[in-house]
Parts: sequence; structure tokens; C-alpha cells
Amino acid sequence: MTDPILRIQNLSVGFRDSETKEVINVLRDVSFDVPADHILGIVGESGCGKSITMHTVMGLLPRTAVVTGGAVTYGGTELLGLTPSEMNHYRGKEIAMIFQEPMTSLNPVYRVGDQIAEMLQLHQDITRQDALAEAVRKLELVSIASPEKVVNQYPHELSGGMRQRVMIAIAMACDPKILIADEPTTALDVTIQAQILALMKTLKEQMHSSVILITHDLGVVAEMADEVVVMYAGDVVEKATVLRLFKEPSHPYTTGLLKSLPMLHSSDERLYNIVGTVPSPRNFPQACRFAPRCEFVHDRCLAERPPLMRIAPDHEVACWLRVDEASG
Amino acid sequence: MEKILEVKGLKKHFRVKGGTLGKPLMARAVDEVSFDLYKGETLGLVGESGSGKSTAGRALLRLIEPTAGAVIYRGTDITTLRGERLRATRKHLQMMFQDPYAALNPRMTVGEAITEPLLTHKMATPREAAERACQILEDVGLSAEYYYRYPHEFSGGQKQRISMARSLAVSPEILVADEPVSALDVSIQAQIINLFKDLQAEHGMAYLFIAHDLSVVRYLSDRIAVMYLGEIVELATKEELFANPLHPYTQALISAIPIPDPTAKKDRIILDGDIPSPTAVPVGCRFSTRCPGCKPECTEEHPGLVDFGGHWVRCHTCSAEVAP
Repeated sequence: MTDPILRIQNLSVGFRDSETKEVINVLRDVSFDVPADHILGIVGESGCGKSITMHTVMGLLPRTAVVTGGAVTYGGTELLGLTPSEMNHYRGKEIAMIFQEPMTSLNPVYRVGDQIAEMLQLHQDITRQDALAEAVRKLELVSIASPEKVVNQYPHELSGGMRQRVMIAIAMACDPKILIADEPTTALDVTIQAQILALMKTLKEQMHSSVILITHDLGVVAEMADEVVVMYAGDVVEKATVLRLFKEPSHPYTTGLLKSLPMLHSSDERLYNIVGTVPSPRNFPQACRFAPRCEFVHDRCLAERPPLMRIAPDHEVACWLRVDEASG
Repeated sequence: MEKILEVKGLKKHFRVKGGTLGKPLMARAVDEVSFDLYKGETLGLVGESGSGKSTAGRALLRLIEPTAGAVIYRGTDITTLRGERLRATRKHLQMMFQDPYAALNPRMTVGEAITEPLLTHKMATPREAAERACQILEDVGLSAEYYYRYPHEFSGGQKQRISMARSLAVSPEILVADEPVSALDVSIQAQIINLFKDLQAEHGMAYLFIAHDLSVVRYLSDRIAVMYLGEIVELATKEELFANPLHPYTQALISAIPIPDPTAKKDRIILDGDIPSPTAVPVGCRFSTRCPGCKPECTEEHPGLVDFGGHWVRCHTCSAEVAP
């Protein structure tokens, strides 16, 4: 495999408590690579840190957040610690992001065309008139019917699916190398989700960009991703190729998630329950963070934190149960 | 099986902003929805946003007044009742909502929330109600110790259990559940789905389970009704609907579910465009604007819901092909 296009190494991020000024750690040594021309899925439930990781990459963390360690390298450049103006060179141009709710990401008082043109003018030497003409072509690219009309419309005049297409058009306007999609279809209906996922796949193939797809939906991951990172409570608990992950899920959290899907079970089977709920970051356990909910928990899990261990060439897992299979 | 609820031609039209003088603009959120509910069964009502599934659920309990139609519970048409008689009938039909944060009063303790319906319906003395509440808390997998706590102290899954306890307090015969698991994370969702099954096995309630997630509906339901733009377009047993979906919309809907298996073979039907506005429903078949198999007659004549041996479908093409 070629060099990764984006590399996240031992990233740790915490949040400063407004009263005690104490830093509460959320992300703990998050590491993974984004290979060029791949779709990487990041899965996890609310509060697992999947969005925080990507906001760190984009330099979009709130003021209360503190990066306590680690590195984010894009094509040889360290992104952490760049000044906002230096970061603007990458943000949008090299790495672009789309969000779950397109209505809150689009500016309600500007026409769709203006918002795409703004992106183009920011990163390219282009006149306003050319940028607006280019905006129509970008809308065509995301398969919007009658782009000449939509370019002059306001976001509220569009449906949810159309808005998400516009968001993708803005994100892809400057041909970024990486598109980060944070739950891009969660707010959409399933038939519209199918449209948007198909569009993202086509665009990725046409433009040879990489996609980081953040989702809680294992079905979406199975269909879209080449590789998958599973996160739980700020830890990466498992990393594998998509085929391997679904064939041999190895972390008790991953297997638990798969066993709890109604899709994969007939009605007379009981769904598997992962007991309890995700603790709040203040109460994250020191060793294995999944230990309180794990049915295989043993002494070592409570005493020592499991590192990511490679159990196959394309498979890493952070669980003491697998320590015997781990290779160097 | 014993029929306990019969919904006939339920309609809910909303007057919306716009339209011309003398001719107000109407949104036909629910149009001619009819179905039966049998004792102890689960009927799934699926559809996407704007299909009218939630409006139908609310109109049939008269949380909003239906524009037309009859809702007959054990021989009594609920839509004609008023005052005390309505209240007395309503205790047999309870409702549960998607967002437990909004459904529970933040200033009421868990105990108050659960005992309130018992006291309103004069089904228990305060003391009996408290005892019953403690029992129900245990039934829904919580502890009686939570009686004096407030909703904000609980997680989303626990809040949904409290909502469930409140709905069950009066021992309803029918529970209308509107997207009760869609705001929850996968691992918590499984806990609540199991709870639905357990409580039904124990108490024999019928569920009208309203959801957009076909995989959840499939897991829980005995029969499934698919709604599109205010109408039921297909209704069949779960097995029949998934093995032999007849309506092109149902086919597309089933094919669009992402399968959590990267090796699964997918013959995905991707529909064009969006669901039309309920203020401007297409003249003929309401799905004709997006249907891959749309024929001239589909844009002219509105198809009726036709019964093919217990499998109901609203489609000109299906009627022509399947009919004897």
C-alpha cells in the first residue's frame, strides 16, 4: 500500500472544566491512517469521540478543548499547531468536511450559487462571474436536476436530500484530497440516503479522493467503507478492513454491536444487550474503558490498559482477550 | 383472532399558509387510512418523513382531531366520544413518543409521572398507585429506588423505559409507539426492543409501532403497513411483505436498507427525487412522480387499495399483473 494521505498518531484531546479548570481527557492515543483513494469508516455511538477526532483534524475544536498530545500529519505537514490562516490553506482546499444537518451548515441568507462561488473564490484565482458559472457545473456534478434554477435558490427552498447534495458540491468544489463526512445521511430518509451514498461513491471514484465516513450505522459502513475504525469512549478499540471486521469482529464491543442489530436476527431470537450505558468522560475507567460493560472482563482489564495489538496483517484490536494472538 | 381496533377512512388535512382567497391551501397529511388491529399483535406502520405515519397515530388517539373517518375500539367509535366517555375509553389506548426528553415533565418525579395516569383515570388510590408504580419500574428494568428521582438524572434509554412505564401504568390494551427507539444508540436500542417484546409477552398488549427503520419494524411486527404521502400503499404480514413486496415503493424501501454485511449482494433500486409536498399531491398514483415503472394510467387515475388474499396493495401495475 502507498503512503497514507493523512496520519493521526497518538492523538489525545481533553476538555477543560469551566469551574475546576481541570482537563478531562476524552480522546486517548487515537491513531489511524487514511490511505489515499480509500473510504475509511469510523464507527461508534454517541460520545465515542469520532466527531472530536475529525474536528481536531480540521482545526474546529471549541476553545475549551485541549490537545494534550499526538500528531496529525497531512502529506508531510503537521496540522496541529498551524495558525488559523495557515490552516485555511488546507481547510476546504485539501481537506473538506460535510455535516449531519445541512440546514445548519448552509447560510440561510445566501443563495446556493453564492455559497459555492465563495468557496471557489477563497481558494482559486477566479472572477465572481466565472465562479458562479462554475457553481452550476458543481451542482451538475452532484446530480442536481435543473442546476441553473437551484443555483439561484435559497437553502430553505430545497429538500433535505438536495441540501446535502449542495453541501457536497461546496465541499468538493476545490477538488479536496480528503472529504470528511460526519454522519452525512443520518438526518435523511432511507431512500434519500441511498441516493447520497451512491453519489459519494461515484464522486470518490471520479476524483480519486479519500473519504472519511463517520457514522453510527454499521450497515452504511459495510456498504461504503474499505477500512473501518471502531471507537468507544475516546479509544480506538478495533481497526480492520471492512471484510475482516464483519467476518471476524474481535473486540467485545464490536461483536456486541453486531449482535444487537435487529437486521441480522429473526424475531424469535432475543437481541443481544450490551449492558449499561457509555459512562460520561469524567467517569471513564483508567484501564480498559469498555470493562464495566464487557461480559468477558477479567483482572487485567481493570488494572492495565490494552494497547492496539495486531492480530492479523489487516486487523488490530485493543483487548486483552486477544493478547496471545498479537504479533510484535 | 379478535379484532380490537378498526380504523376506517382516517383523514387529517391541515390548513397551511398560502393558497388564494376562498380556496385555502390544504396539506393532506393523512388520507383514507384504514386498517384493523388484533388483540396482542404488533402492526408496524412504516414510512419516510412526510408519509403521515405520526399524524395517523396521533389522529387515531385524537391527540389531534381527525378531519374524517372512524376509529372503532371494541365497538365504540372514539371519534364521536366526548368528555368522561372519551377519557374512559382512552385509558385503553396509550401513546409513547420518540423523544423521551420532551415526553417527560422535567418537574415531576418518576413516581409522579407514572402514578399520574392512574390517578387521572381514578384507577387507584394514591397509595395503590405508588405501589403499582414501583412494580412497573421493576417491570421495565428499572429499580423502585428511582421513584423520587427526576427525569434529567437518567440517560436516554432509561428515560424511554420511564415513558414506557408511564404508558403501561393503566394497563392499556393498545400502545401506539411513535419512533420509540430512533433517538437511541444501537446498543441501547436493542435493550428497548427486547423490552417491547418482553412486555407484550407478559401483558398481551397490541402495539401500533410507528417507525421509519424497516429493520426494527421487521423485527418487532407481525404485520406491516407501508405509508407514502398520506396513504397506505401496501399492507401484509411481515414474512409476505419482505418475501414478496408488490408495490414499487416498498421494493425500493426494502432495497435501500444498508445491510451490515460487506459481502451481501445488493440489487439496489435508487429512486429519483423527493417525496412531493402533501399540499400538492399528484393526481393519479401518489408515487407516480418517482416510480420507475410509471405508466400513463398511473398519472391519471388514483389506484385503490386492493386485497390479494390478505396482501393489500395500491398500484395499477400490481393489480394488472397479480389479479387472476
